[in-house]
Amino acid sequence: MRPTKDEVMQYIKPSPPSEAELAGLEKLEPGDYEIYSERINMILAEAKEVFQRVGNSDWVLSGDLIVGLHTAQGDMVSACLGTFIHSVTAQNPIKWVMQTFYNNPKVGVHEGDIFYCNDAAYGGLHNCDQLALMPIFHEGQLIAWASTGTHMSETGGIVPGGMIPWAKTRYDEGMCLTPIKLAENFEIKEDLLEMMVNMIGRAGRQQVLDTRARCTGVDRVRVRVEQLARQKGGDFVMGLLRKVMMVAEEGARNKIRKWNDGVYRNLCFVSGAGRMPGIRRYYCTAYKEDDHILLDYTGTSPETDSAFNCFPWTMVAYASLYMYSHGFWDLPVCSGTMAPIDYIFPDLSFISPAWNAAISHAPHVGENNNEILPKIFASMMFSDPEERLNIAAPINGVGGGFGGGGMGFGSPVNQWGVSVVGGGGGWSRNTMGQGGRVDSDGMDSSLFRSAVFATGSDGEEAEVDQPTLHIWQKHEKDTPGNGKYRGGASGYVGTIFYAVPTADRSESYPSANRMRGVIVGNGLFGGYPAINGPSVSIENSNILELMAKSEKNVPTDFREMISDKVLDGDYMLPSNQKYRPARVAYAGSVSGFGTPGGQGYGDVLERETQAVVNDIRAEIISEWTAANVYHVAYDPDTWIADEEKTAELRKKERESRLQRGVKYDDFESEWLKQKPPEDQLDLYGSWPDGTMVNRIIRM
Amino acid sequence: MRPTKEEVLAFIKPTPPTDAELAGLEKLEPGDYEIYSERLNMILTECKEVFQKVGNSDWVMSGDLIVGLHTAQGDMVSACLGTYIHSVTAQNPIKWIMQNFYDNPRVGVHNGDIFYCNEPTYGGLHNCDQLALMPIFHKGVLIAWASTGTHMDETGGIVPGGMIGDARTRYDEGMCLTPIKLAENFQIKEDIMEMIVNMIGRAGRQQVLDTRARCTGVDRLRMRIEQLAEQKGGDFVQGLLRKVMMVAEEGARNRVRRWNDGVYRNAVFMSGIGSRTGIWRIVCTATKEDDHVLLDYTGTSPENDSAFNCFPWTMAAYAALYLYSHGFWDLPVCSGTMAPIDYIFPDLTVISPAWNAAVSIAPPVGELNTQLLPNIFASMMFSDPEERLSIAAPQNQILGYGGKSMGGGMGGFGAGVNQWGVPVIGGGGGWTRNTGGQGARVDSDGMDSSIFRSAVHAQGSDGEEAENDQPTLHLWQKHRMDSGGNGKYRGGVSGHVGGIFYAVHSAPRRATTGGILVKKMLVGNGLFGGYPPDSSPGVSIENSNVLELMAKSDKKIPVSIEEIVTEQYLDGDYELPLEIKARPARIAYEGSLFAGGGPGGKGYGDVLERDPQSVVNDVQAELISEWTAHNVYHVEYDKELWLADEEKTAESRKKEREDRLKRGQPYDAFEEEWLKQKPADDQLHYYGSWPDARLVNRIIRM
Repeated sequence: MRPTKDEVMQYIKPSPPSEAELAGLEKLEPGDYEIYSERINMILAEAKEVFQRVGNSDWVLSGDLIVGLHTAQGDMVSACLGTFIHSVTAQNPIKWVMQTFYNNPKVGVHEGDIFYCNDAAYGGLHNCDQLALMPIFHEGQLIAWASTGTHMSETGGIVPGGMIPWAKTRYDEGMCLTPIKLAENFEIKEDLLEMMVNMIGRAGRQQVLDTRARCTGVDRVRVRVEQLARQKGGDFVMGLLRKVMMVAEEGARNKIRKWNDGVYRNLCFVSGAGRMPGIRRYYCTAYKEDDHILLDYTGTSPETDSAFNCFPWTMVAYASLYMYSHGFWDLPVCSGTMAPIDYIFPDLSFISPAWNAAISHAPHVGENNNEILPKIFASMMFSDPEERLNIAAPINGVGGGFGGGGMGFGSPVNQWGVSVVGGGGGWSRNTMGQGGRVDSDGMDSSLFRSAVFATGSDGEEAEVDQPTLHIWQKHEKDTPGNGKYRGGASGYVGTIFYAVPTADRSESYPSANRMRGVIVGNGLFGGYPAINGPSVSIENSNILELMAKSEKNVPTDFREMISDKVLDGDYMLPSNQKYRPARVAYAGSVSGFGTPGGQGYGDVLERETQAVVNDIRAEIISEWTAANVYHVAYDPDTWIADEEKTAELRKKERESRLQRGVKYDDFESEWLKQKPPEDQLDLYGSWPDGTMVNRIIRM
Repeated sequence: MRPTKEEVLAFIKPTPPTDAELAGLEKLEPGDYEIYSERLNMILTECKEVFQKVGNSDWVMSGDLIVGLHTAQGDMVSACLGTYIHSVTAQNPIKWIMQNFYDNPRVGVHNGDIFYCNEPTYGGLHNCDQLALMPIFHKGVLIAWASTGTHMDETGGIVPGGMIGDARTRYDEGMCLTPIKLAENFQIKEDIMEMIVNMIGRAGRQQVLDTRARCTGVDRLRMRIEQLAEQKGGDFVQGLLRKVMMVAEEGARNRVRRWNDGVYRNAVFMSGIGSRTGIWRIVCTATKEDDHVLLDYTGTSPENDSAFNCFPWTMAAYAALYLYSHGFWDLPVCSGTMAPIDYIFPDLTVISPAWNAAVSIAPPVGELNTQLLPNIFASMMFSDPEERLSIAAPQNQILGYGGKSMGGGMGGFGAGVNQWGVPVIGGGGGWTRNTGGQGARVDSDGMDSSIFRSAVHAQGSDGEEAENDQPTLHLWQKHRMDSGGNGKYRGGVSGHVGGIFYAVHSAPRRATTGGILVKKMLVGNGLFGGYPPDSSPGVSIENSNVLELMAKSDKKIPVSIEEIVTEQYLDGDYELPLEIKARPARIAYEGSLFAGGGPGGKGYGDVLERDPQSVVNDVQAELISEWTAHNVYHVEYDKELWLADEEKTAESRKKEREDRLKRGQPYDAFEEEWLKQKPADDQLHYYGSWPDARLVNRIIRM
């Protein structure tokens, strides 16, 4: 039976210690915890390395994955990863398996089994994320579980690519596996592998290779933990795992105690869902008291009939992503660490939709927790000089262009004649700008907001994998949010569909992109939001002919593509979106796209003037930005800031700010009269409180 | 690896005998074949009974299913069934398993295994049809396979109901299982069952119960065959199964030899795909020589981007359905019987699309073979007085425009829970589907309200039974006047039904496109001058006040479609047969009403040759109207005594014959005029080039 939402929300909390664990705790000598918890981390690092090298997709190669070690009951104890999000969700199917199958003689949990699943309704994020789960035994006793998980670019849904904005129900989204026993007696069942490959018919090879990689990863964890148990005893291992959870929880509670008690609020708005335009909002109220935090999302807009919904545990996964990256950065990735945080998710909001909702865009929905929480926790932590160092502005939540490579142009086969589906883990996705920090700029082209330790792929590597030729791959000017410390600039890329004569391209809907029409979230403490990087494509361009003629004017960034229009072809400009039916795209089609920059921290007028000049020189910001946003003067020949003139300009700007300003009460009274146009409120719920107005009928 | 089309088409042919089978043949004493082939039939009958009683859906209860016994290599040897179509397709996954898993130590084929599948590209019809396949062992040797199969109303596709007219690719159609091991050591794996139930999330209970029923069916067959092998030996059983195949093939070839050699042609046209209009055609040229028939479908329209496509083996399945119902009616349901028939299916046509095509409407596409073949085989068989008796006109292919002719209860009104609080999907196996009229025969009328063209031995459900299963109250359930095709022998009239959505407060109803035009054109023809039947309209009135009127004992409650349409006595939101408009997803409330019927059978021979008293009897029985008696049959009669007036009728018919001669023109003149005709260009989008139907537009499937 499918678990209820309440059951899954229970899974993410630490289970009480078993008797075996309590007995095992007694076996730990002084120093054992310190030594062997590190041993576990090394085992996990090895297993991650193995997983990454055995796998095939750019998701795996980039490290956007997890290898987790769990207690026998399923609690996450520690993980080596590129993304924190699965640390929450990998627990859920294990706990469900323990509850449903462990004592069921018709399934059971045995040595050599590997379970496999990707159903969000059973505790996952979205069905792109496939998990392998392997029980670990010592002398016949279940002592632990291993998990591996990563995204797969294809799900067998109604269109290629897995994440299907206009999916209306779960039935549009393709393969959803409840936990099934994929392997028994250490052997993969080839009938089930065939079944999956057939369901993922557009990219069977990717499916086989990454499935085997997941299995290899869990098996390596199993081998190592079994070795540890042979050395130290199964009860020792069970005690050790529980100890990690206990220490983690204690650490987290101690940390939280240092933050200011209070009630904190933040919200964020997004524009559009699937094909439909219109705003929606997230609303979070954090109640912090002593060592406990309650995140209450009451006030969030209703569920939608697109794939822009996520289950509550997705929001938890992204809360943990934020916490592990900031407040809890030095604590184990462990269910104990997240234990002090509780949640309220209003039912039938888009963060707690009905079970049959489409949710393949759940990560995009959950990611916005990273727009909401930085401000809440920054306010909570700011007064403590040490904790304050964990503060950063958000990475931008706007989805710019995704993926890399020619398969942005559709399916089906790459230059090696293999069926592939792209659109996932390319360079640009993993090179967003980091948010500006409390003491320094965000890193440029540095990370993916969902998988902060994943790396951007190498251009040549991408060209081997996908039918692509790169025209450029670089930082995008003026993408960072400006501030005292600016956000990192984002990476962006221009590619040519190359080495394959044609590809089939699916239909496109204008408002599927319109979701990016508003900037999501804000900078921190006066920092500005980042820019929303435009995407451009020119289908069937003549670029390859021009390059063959050594044409000098081949564009090397968006602006050139858009303003100069040197290339002939069918332009799809950011401002000129229209419905296009499924069609054939030819070699020479060009696509240029980037990811979002990081948001800014603090007042632009406080930014060190020479830092601004250095940014112009490095082509991270434009002269226009230096003059009009930062109000900095400099010598263009020597690249040296003119401090005096800058001070003058900034004084003038401060005075003009005072002139432009209004009193808060006046502002508020004017603000409260504002209302978006009615045709933009279809998805919002009632105005202004976001309660449900239209019931969604899902068939 | 997915089998190629050529591999699957090879699967449907008999595999050469194995050494074990040849050795087994030697064990058969005189009389053994006769006794034990009948024993097999009795075993299969028992298993069908078990399957049918254990299952839950109206498909199973109606008997629209198969229980098949196969050789160790997978050839169908004999079956007990309600539908012949699975007799072709149940073989394919077994042969695929034998090719891919039997010698594969990571899967293997063991005692106590049950394989399960529903994937059309691996040799099935469409993914509604789920099969359980169980190997049968004797002393460790694989001696046979058992299969059970039936339709499931839900597939987890983009909309409820499994058969999704507007599906664009296979990925719109939901769960497709390649053969997986559902059971091992005689136990169903509950993790796999959970997976399947989750994929069929709209109707999990139906899925569980019918899956278990399929497993029960194959297991009973396994047990009985094991018993037989214990009595007579495993080699005996293997020899017996091969003997059945050999006798069947010999019988079929002898039969075919009696038919006239020659080249025969027929074509059939359809009027749309999904919710879109436009004609397309299937053409068949049969070349009959000695004991062999080649069916060549060259000239058939290209594949399309809806679910109105089928794989070649679906066409072979419907060829089998036709032949087992007519020319081969007394031969075993067996791969040997169909061995003399070969096929040519041009690639990338509607009957041989790309592997990623949507094919969930494959049965209605394949059913067109039962429109094509009657004319072809009737021409082949007519000159032999005995064979001629196997001839009949086709059953009608039309579902009744309005599209509400199927199922009972919930099916008409969407998905949701029935009166017992259980999520169900209807739309399938109700009374009307199984009460189409039979085509008229060479010597008698077709039976009225008698059969489903895809499952000729399935039966219509009882009204009370349907009301127990689905939230329905029946207003009527009866023969529909004038639905039979007229002729010397009339096609059987169809059953039709009026039902009220009842005992559940409301149900969500999916968006409707008004996509009913596909059923607007009559498909196929009567035989030897017989007329096609009427296209039965469907009507619904959402949120009607019929329950309130019934509570007040109102006398004017309608009891036929015609009354509903013409009098419009009820209040509510009417969907009339000719009204084509899109409606968004919505809530339908208790008291909503729907009415529709299955198709009538086609007529045989000239209406003017029909016995006048038979016409009068039909008027009296409300099977035809007075108008039809007068204007079609030209029969005069005494309305009080219900007696035909032979003299007046002869006069009237003489006049009509003279009128015909006046209306007629020489064939050459007709043909010359006919060849100038062309359908409107906007109706040729799915046809291919005119008139030869070659590929014009490439289909891009993502």
